Amino acid sequence: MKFYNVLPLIKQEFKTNIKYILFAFLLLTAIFSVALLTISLSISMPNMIYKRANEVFSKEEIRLNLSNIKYAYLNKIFEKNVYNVHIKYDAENIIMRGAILSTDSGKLAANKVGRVAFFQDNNYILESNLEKEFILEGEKWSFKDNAKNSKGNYCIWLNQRTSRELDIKIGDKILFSSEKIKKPFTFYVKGIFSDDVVSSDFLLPFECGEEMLKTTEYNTRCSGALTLKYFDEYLQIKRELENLGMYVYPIKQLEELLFSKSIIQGSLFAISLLLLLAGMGIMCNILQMIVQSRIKLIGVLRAMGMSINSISLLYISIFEVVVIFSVLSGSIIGYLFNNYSSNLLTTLFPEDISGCLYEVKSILMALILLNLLMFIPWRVIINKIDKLNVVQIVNSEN
Amino acid sequence: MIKADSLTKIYYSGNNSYTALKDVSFSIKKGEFLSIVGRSGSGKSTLLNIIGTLDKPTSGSVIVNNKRLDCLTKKQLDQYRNKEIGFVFQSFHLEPSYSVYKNVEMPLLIANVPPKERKEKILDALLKVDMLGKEKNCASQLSGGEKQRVCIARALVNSPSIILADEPCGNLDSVNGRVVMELLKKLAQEGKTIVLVTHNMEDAKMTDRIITLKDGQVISDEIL
Repeated sequence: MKFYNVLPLIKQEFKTNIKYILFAFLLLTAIFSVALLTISLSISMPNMIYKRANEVFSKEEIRLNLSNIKYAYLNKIFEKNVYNVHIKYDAENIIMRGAILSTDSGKLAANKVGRVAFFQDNNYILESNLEKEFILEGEKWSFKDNAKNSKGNYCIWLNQRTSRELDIKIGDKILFSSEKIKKPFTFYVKGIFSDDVVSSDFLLPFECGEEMLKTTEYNTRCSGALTLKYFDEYLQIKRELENLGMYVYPIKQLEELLFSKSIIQGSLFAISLLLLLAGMGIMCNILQMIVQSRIKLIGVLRAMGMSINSISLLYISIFEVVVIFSVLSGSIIGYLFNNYSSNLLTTLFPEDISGCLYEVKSILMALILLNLLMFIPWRVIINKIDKLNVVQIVNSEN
Repeated sequence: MIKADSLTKIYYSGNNSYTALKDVSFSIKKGEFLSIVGRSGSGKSTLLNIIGTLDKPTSGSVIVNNKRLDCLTKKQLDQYRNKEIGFVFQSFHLEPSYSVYKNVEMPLLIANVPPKERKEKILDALLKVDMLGKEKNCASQLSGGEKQRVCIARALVNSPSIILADEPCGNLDSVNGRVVMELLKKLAQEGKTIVLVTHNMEDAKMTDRIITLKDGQVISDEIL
């Protein structure tokens, strides 16, 4: 039987069963509005908590304090999604111990005691400092630039004091060797920075520093800190670092916040799911009630050759209409309530709660979920019709 | 056209069993107006339900238009009931909230008949049962005789070759009963095969042939 031929029957059955349909509509609207409100809140409340967390924990402050970092683990730390890494280690002393710098002009700086800073791609603080025109001569540091020039020499930025001492100009080559570094490194001077920018004499690309350190037997422990890019990754990164054998000093306030977020989100989501399941149970029962009340007609339709699937389609279609409309009206009510509750929450916590995007998401989610759940009532109705004793129905008295 | 071969129907209920039909065989020609008579519980309705594929025999088979009904799939059985058979029930089984038109339209909707052709067929069927002009009336507003006539219109609207009538006059007074029987006779004369189940011998005598059942067995097969 074609669907368009079921339509006149749907229309007729809609009229006949209007009291059940109205009852189902009101009941489901109520359930969906509460369910959607909770789904919506389960999404918007953690968002509000995030916003609040962003206020409380600024990017620089969400810092994981580490201790006992082995140099061998540094690479793994740098792979993390972090804004910045502050590692206190004596690499400078090791690299600079017995260092000899020689320039093209023949000037030498032996046993130079200085400091070196390694650039990292996401060195947030350094980047912002250099953007403030601390570069006095030469090129500004660009993280996207190649760390080496065309001849394969690493770039170097010197502070003004060192460049004056050694009379170094932009474009000069510097040869660097020290006690701990087996192979000397040739640098290409790309820029000169102000002495105020960092407490370092040299700024080197990170991979250069890494290569230098690899040539040493440096494997001692040091302490450091990570500045997180996304604070909600805190627990995961902390766990990963602890797996590497590092001790991470906990940020209690952040941990509590993340815990309360997961509790609120989880419980609200569970409530909404339970409500949707209850909705599905009610749908099954109302469908059974309709089938029961129309049992004679169904029996006669079967006797006339209407297939079980077509009869199921007839009643499921009616119900689909009811479900769609009740989801939509429930969503509107849920949305209005959510707006009200959001306003209330905004008053209590003066952070802005996001717009309707979350509600749209929840409506879509509910519609998809409900249509998946409709599979169960569909099976219920098919089984019920299949088990009907048509003989008994058609032979029964009115 | 219809051939019943050694039909047996046994109903089981727990450890008990009840034989409704016992080795029933007969054949019905095309256009024959046949009545099956017998007392209550003799198995006549069971026989009708088996021919109409509403029920299945425990053993034996029914062949209709050279097709063995027990070999048909569910879908083919649905199509057989829709296109080959028209049912007339004792209790009419009209949907009271539907109009006469909607009630008669149902088999045509199931058969996917296009709307224009549907309307023509419905009006034609209502004309045959003398119910034209009442198509907009609600089924619940009709008298018993009118209901049965609408039921007959619904049975023949899809132009089936066989009409199975189970006590069609059972709920009617004698005048309306007579009208319905005349109507069935007229349909038989037009070439429909009609199988009538009744316990009223007056009605049975209006048919061409009477099969009498007793305790699930054919005890007589009489051509009038």
